[in-house]
Amino acid sequence: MTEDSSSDGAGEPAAQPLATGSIDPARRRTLQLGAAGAITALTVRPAFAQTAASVFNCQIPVPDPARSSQYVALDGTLVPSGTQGAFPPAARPFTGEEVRRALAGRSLPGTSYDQGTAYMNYIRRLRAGQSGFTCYASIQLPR
Amino acid sequence: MMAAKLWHGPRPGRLIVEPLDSLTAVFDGRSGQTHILAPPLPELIAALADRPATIAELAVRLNEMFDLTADGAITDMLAARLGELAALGLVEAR
Repeated sequence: MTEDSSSDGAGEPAAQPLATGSIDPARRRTLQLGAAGAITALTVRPAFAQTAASVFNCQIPVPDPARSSQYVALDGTLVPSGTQGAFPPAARPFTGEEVRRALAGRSLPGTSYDQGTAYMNYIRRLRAGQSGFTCYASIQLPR
Repeated sequence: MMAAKLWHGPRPGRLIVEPLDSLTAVFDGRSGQTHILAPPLPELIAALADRPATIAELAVRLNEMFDLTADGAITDMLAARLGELAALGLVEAR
């Protein structure tokens, strides 16, 4: 079999992309829907490469450094500094282990009941891209 | 008579999909997890991308694009694969 690097337009047509409509029956790909025991998915969790110890030493700042001038309301949203009923930023980031214990019912170190509630509600609202999200996601996964 | 469940794929932009030869890496922005998926899971996600479908409708869509093979009834196999995707949080039935 020789390789033909020339482009004369006479080569085989490219296979149709997945999402488009009519497909030339001669070009259709076979799709096996699965056999018993076949493994079809592997999930790489956040902090997968870290040891169990280092996962729980990861940190969750409340709030993230970019918004450290804001206060944390009881529902976990960020509000202007000094807002009544809201709490100033945590003195230091919490470790994954500390937050994991708080999820199990213990209090966050150095916080009152309402303050800890506000901080935990903030942490529960974290989304991908925010500081502390990967750490929080990691501690929720079954060991 | 109960209506068939409608399967919904992820909203546009939620996933980052990267083909890796015969496997597909899928980063889910909602969970922060990365899934390495083998066929037919990426194809099922793509087939649900534009609009939700029942299992029967999904079978028709896939049959238009592929020669489907299965070690059992196609709808049973699709139900099993969709269950796997649902366990990963990538599709849901409602």
